[in-house]
Amino acid sequence: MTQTLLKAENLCTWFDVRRGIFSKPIYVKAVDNVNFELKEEEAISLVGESGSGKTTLGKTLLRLYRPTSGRIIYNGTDITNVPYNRLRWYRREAQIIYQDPFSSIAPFFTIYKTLEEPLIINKIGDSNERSEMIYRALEAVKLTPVEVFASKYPHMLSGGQRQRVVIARALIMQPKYIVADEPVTMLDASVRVEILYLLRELQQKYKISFIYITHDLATSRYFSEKVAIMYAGRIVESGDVDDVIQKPLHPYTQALLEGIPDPDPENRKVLRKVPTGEPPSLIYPPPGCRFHPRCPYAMDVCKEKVPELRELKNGHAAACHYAEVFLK
Amino acid sequence: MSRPSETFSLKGVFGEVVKNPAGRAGVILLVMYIVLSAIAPIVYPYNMVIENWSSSTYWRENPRLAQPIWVKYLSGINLPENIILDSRDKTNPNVLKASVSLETVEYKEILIKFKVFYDYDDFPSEIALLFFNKFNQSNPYIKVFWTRPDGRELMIYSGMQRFRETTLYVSIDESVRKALTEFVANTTQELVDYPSPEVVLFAKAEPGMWNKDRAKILKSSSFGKPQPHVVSVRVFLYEGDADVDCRLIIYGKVYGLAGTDNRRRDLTMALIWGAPIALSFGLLSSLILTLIQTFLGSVSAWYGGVIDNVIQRITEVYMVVPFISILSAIAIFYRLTIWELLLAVVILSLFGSGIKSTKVLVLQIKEEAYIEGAISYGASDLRILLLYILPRILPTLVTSIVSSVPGFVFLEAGLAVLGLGDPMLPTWGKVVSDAYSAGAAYKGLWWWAILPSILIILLSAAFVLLGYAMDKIVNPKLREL
Amino acid sequence: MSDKNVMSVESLILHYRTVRGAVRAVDGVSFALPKGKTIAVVGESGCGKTSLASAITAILPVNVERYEGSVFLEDGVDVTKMSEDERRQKIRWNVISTVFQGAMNALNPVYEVGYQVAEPLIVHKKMKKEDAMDEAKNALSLVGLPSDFLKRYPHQLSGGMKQRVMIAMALVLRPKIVILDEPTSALDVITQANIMNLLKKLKWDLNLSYIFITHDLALASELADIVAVMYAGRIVERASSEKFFTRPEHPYSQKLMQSVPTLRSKKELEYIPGAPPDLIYPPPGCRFHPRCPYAMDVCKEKVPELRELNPDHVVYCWLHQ
Repeated sequence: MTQTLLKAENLCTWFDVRRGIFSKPIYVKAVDNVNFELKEEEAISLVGESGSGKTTLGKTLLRLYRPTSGRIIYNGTDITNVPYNRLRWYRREAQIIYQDPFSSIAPFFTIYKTLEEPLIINKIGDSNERSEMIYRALEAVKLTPVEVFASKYPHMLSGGQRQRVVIARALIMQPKYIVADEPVTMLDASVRVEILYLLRELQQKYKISFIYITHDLATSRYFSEKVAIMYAGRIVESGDVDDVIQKPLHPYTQALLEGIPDPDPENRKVLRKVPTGEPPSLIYPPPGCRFHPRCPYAMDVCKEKVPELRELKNGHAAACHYAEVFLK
Repeated sequence: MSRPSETFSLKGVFGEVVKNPAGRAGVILLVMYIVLSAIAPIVYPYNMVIENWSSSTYWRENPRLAQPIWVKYLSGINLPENIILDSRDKTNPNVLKASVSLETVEYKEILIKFKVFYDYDDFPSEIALLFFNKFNQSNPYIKVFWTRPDGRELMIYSGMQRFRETTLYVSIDESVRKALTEFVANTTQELVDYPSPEVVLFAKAEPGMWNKDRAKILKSSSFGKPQPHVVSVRVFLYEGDADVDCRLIIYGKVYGLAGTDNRRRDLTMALIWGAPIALSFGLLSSLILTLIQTFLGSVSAWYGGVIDNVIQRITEVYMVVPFISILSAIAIFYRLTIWELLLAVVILSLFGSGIKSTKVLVLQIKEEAYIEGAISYGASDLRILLLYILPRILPTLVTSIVSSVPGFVFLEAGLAVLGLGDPMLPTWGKVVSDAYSAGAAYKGLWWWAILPSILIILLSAAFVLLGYAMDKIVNPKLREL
Repeated sequence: MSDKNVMSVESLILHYRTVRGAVRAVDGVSFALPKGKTIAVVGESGCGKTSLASAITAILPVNVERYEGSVFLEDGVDVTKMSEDERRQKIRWNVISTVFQGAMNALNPVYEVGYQVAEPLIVHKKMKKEDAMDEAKNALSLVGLPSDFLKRYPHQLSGGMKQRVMIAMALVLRPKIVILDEPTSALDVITQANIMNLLKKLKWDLNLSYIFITHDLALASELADIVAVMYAGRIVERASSEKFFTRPEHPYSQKLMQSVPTLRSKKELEYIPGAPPDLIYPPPGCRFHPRCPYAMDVCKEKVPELRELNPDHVVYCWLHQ
C-alpha cells in the first residue's frame, strides 16, 4: 500500500474575469470542489474535454495557479497558500510536460542549455555534474547520440524529438511526480505511440507518479491504471481504467465512450447515440449536476442537488444520483 | 505545423541585411560615415577644433565665402585660388628681399619684391598685405608699388608702420582707393569713386576696367613671355637692427573641399566633424532611450497591476506633452552644450511610445509555454526577463534603435538651426544655421547650406535603409513581400 | 470514366516552390469517387493531404511550381484544364464545395451568420437577397440550427455551432461533392460525434459524395466507403472500407492501424520509428522504405507500381508484385 503523495480537498480555482476594476467580480469556475488523490509511483489519467478544467486542475496542483479555496497537501505539507517565492523546493518535486512541443522550449537555447537551466536555477551540481545529468537525461529519452542532440536548436528537431526534450527537462530534476498536459496531442499518430510508451517506461523505471491529462479516453488505457473523468470543473467519475470503460457509472462517461469511434467499417452505417448540446459555461454553470441539461436520465433532483463523488465499488466512484442503477 | 528557423542571432540578422539591396546601401553609407568620424580627430584634432572654430584670427588667410575647389573643374571656369607670398620665405624664386642701399647704423632701405603670375579666369576676392615690423622707437616707413603685367605701375600705398604687426587691407583701404581712382582716371579717363582694387589691378586697361562685370582679366600669359604682377615694397628703416617682413595675400574664390563661410572658416572641418557628433548624438540618444523604454515596457508587461498602470499613465502623459516646445524653452533660457542637450532630450522622451510597443511584444511572449515552464522549474522573474524574454525582443530592439537614429540626428540639426544648439561645436546643424542667418539662399552661397544638408540627409538615409532591411527580416510577416 | 463515378482524379501533381526547393506535396495521386459514396484520404501531417484538397479544386497558391494531371467530373470536364472564371462560376461551390480545417475561424466576425450562408447564392447565382436568405434558412435547418441563427454573429456561437454553419455554407448551392478537410479538429468528442452524425444524415438524405481528409483512422471509418492512405504525396493503398479495416496490405497502413489506440479491444500499440520524410527531397524509390520493416533493395530504387489485389483493393508495394 503506497503512500499518498498529493491530496486535494475541495479544491476550487476560480478566475476573476471582470472588466474594469470597479465592477463586481465575475468568476470562471474552472475547478470547482475537486477531491483528488495521487499516490507514490502511481499514474492517473485525467480525462476531459477542453473547458473541463483538467489543465487548470493539473496546474493548480503544481501551484502554478493559486487555489481560490480548498487545500492541497503534498507529502503531509499544506502548500495551499504558500507564497510563490517560498515554493522553490516544491518546484523540484513536481514538474510539468507541456502540450505544444513548439512553444514549450525556448527557441534560442540549445538543447543543452534548455536542460541546464533548471539545474542552474536550483543550484544543482557543478558544471561537470550537470553535464553528466544532461547527457543521462538525453539518453533516457533516447535522443542519441547525445552530444549531437545537445548542441542542436529546437527548430532543427521534429515535433517528437522536441517533446522528448521536454520530457528530459522534466526528468532531470528527478521529481516525485510529473503532470503531463496532453503530451502527445500535437504529435503525429505514428509518433504518438512512441512517446506514450516512452513516458510509461520512464514512469515505471524511475518510479515517478504521473498525472496524465488528455481528452482521449482511449490512450489513457495505455498509460495508466487509474482514470478520473472531468466535466465542467468537477470530477464526475474515477476508478480503474478498465472498470470505468467496461462499466461506466456516469452518463457523461457513457456518452464519451459512445462518442469515441474505433476503426470499424460498420460505423458508417449507424448514427452514434450521443447527447446533443455543448459543455456549459463555467461562469454561470447549471445548478445541481452540471451535466443535467444534456443527460438522457435527468430527474428533478439532478437540477437541484449537486451529486457527490462517492465510491460505489472498490475504487470506482461516480458523481451521479443514479449511479447504482448503472451498476447492474 | 512548423515554423521557419527564426534568426535570433544578431550575426544571422546582419548576414540577411547585407543580402537585401536596401540594407546593403545602408551599410555602405554607414561605413562611409564611420570612416569619416574616425578621420575627423586625426585630420583636425579635437582641441584644435574647439579652440579655433570660434576664433577669428585663425582663419584670417582663407578667402571669405569661397566655393569648394572642385567647382573649378565642374564649371570649367578657372576660379582663383589663394596666392600667398611671404618675404621670409627664402626658397621661393618669386620672392625677393634685399637691401638696396648702404646700411649704416641709422638708415637702411629694404626692397621686397613679390612676383605673381596670374592666369585665372576671375578676379581675386580680396588683397591684403601683412607687415611684421621689428623696431625699437623709430617707425619704419613703407611704400608699396604695383607693377602690372602690361607695364603700368602705380604706387598704391605709402605710410608709417606704428605697430609690430599691421595689415594693409588693399581692398578697402582709403589711400589705396584714392590711388586707384587716380589710376583709372589716367588710364581710361573714367571717373569712379570706389573702384575695387582687386578688379582694377587685375583688369585689362580698357574702359570699364573698374567694373567687375565688364572688366576683363589681364592674364600673365597673354604676353609672349609670361609677365607677372610685381608688388614692390620699399622699406625705409631708421634703426640698424630694425627689420620689416611682408606677407602678400591675394585671396582666391575657391578653397578646400567644402569652401568657406562668412567667417572664412574652412567648412570641411565642420562637415567632417559633424559626422562623429551627429553619429554619437543620434546613436547615444537612440540607444539610451530604447534601452530604458524596453526595460520599462517589459516590467510593465511582466508585473502588470499597479506597476503597469503607473507606467502606462505616465507614458500617456508624456506622449501628449509637446516636448520640442519645452526643449526650445529650456534652450532659450540656458545655453546648452551638446551633452546637456542630449540629457534634456533623453529626459523629455523617456516614457515614449516605445514603452507601449515593447509592452505588447512582451505580453505576447509572456503567454508562451516555455515561460510558464521556466516558472515551473523555479526561474526568478529577473532571470526570465533577461534570459527568456529579452533574446526574443532583441532583434526588434536593435531595429528600433537603428530606425530612431535619424529622428535624433534631425532633432539636433533642427535645434541648431533654430539657434538652440551647442554654440561652440561645429555641427552640421550649426553650419546650416549660420548659412541661414547670413542669407545664404538669397546670395547664392549654395555650398554653405547644401553640403551640410546633404550629409544630414544621407546619414539619416543610411539608418532608415538599415532599419528597413532589418525590419523586413525581423518581422516575419513582412518577409513574404 | 464510368457512369457511377462522380469524380475521377488521375495522376494529380502539385508542387510548390519554396526557398529551399520544390515541395512535392501531391505527387501523382489517382482515385475514383462513386456517386453517393465517401472516400477517406488518410495520412499524417506533412503527407500532402491538405494540398490535395487545393489541387482538386484548383485553388492554387502563388508559388505553385507544377500542376498537372486531371480531375474529371461527371460530364467529362476536367477541372484542371478549365479557366479560372469557369471554375469560379461553374465548379466551385456549385459542384464541389469545401469545408476547411479550422473552419470555425473562417467566419467573418462582422457579418451575421445568415448573410454569410446566403452570400454564395447572391454572388454565384445572382439571387435576390430575400430569396437567398430563405435558402440560407433552409440550409441552416438542414444542419440542425433554428432560423433565429440567421441574425446571430459568429462570436455568439460555440465551436460546434460554427462548424455546422460552415457545413450549411458548403451545402447552400446543393453541390454534388463536398471536400471535408479535418472538419472536426478542435471539437470535443461529443460535439464531434454529433457533427459526424449530421454528416452521415446529409450524405444519406442528399446523396452527397464526400472526400473526407483526416489523420484519424477511427474517424475515417465513420464515413468512409473507400479508404485511401496517403504517404509523402502519394497514395500507397486504396481499398473498400471492409477490406481495408480488416486486412490492410501496405506496411504503412498496417503500422498505422496498429498505432491507433482502441477503446473496445485490448491490443498492444505499435509505433513507426523515424519521421515522415521531407517533401522537398523525398527518399528515392518507395518513399516509405526508410521506415518499412520489410524494405527490400528494389524498394530503394524503383517506385512501386499499382497492384490490384481485388477490384476494390489496390496497393503500391513491391511486396505484392
